[in-house]
Amino acid sequence: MTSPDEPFVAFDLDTADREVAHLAGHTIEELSDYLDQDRTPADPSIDDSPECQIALRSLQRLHGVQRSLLSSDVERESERSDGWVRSILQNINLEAHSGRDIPIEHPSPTARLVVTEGAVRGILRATGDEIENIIVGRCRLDGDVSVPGTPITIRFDAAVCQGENIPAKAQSLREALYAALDQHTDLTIAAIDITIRDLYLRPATPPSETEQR
Amino acid sequence: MSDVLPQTDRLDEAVLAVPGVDTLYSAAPLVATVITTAVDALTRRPPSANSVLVSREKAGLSVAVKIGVTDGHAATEVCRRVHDAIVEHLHGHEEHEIAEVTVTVARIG
Repeated sequence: MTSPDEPFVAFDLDTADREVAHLAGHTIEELSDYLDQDRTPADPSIDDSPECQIALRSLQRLHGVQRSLLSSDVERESERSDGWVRSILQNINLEAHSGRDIPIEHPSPTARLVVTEGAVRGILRATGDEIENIIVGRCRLDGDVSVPGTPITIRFDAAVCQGENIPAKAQSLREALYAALDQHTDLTIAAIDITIRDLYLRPATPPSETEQR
Repeated sequence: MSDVLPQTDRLDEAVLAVPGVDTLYSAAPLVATVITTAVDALTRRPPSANSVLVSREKAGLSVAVKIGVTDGHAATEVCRRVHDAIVEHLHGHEEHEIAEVTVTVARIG
């Protein structure tokens, strides 16, 4: 298992120059603004970039979570949201990079088929986000993904809604991640390590019409 | 390197016709794409059609494409089908010497 204090060292790309270079010349803040402006006016340098599209989809889901959290407990969450959200934004930015090429098997000797590491991280983050009451923090693939058959460990960080059964949630998440990896890659998965690093308050449920009367 | 060899005509359509492919991204390196896009913008001409990269080498034709895969389709299967569609398209145009077909899945879902 990953130590909770283990630094996130999968990427060393946190300088502004590299950030710009790897998201088709756009910062994560620019992509967030683009999303806020409902993607208008259309920017082909964003719309035609797979890295930007992966980041935008993650940002869109994060924005949805932020809205529900703000409506549930503005004071408590706003105290820590800056650092918490910033770290998720940073991870979304890092994970959206295309990264390493992961081979896909084909019997033809002239075939060179790959899925990018960024695409796999993107679908794993989306899979985690689809599980109710889980917020994905970061996702990382450990091991030489470029060599078929090499055992790979997936390391996943998440926050869970307060009151949830954490082992059960982690197991649901693990099963969903295995299924996604099996569907979209030929990777040999040795383990999926999940670390729940935080709890957050359950989003407020809007009062029903009956309760409002 | 060229993307307008006669036998690669409509290769982009062949790739986009594969179930599960929803986007054909530029397979050119980022720097080349940025420069091309900038030149296109300056000259007010339509964006360059460089989604499929093709080059003729000693061993035959080399093709590279970069795709996005839609929800509900396995990226591995879609990737293999795209490769097979490219080979079939080239064989249909009497292009039997193929050096390499590179298919990159750049986004899923």
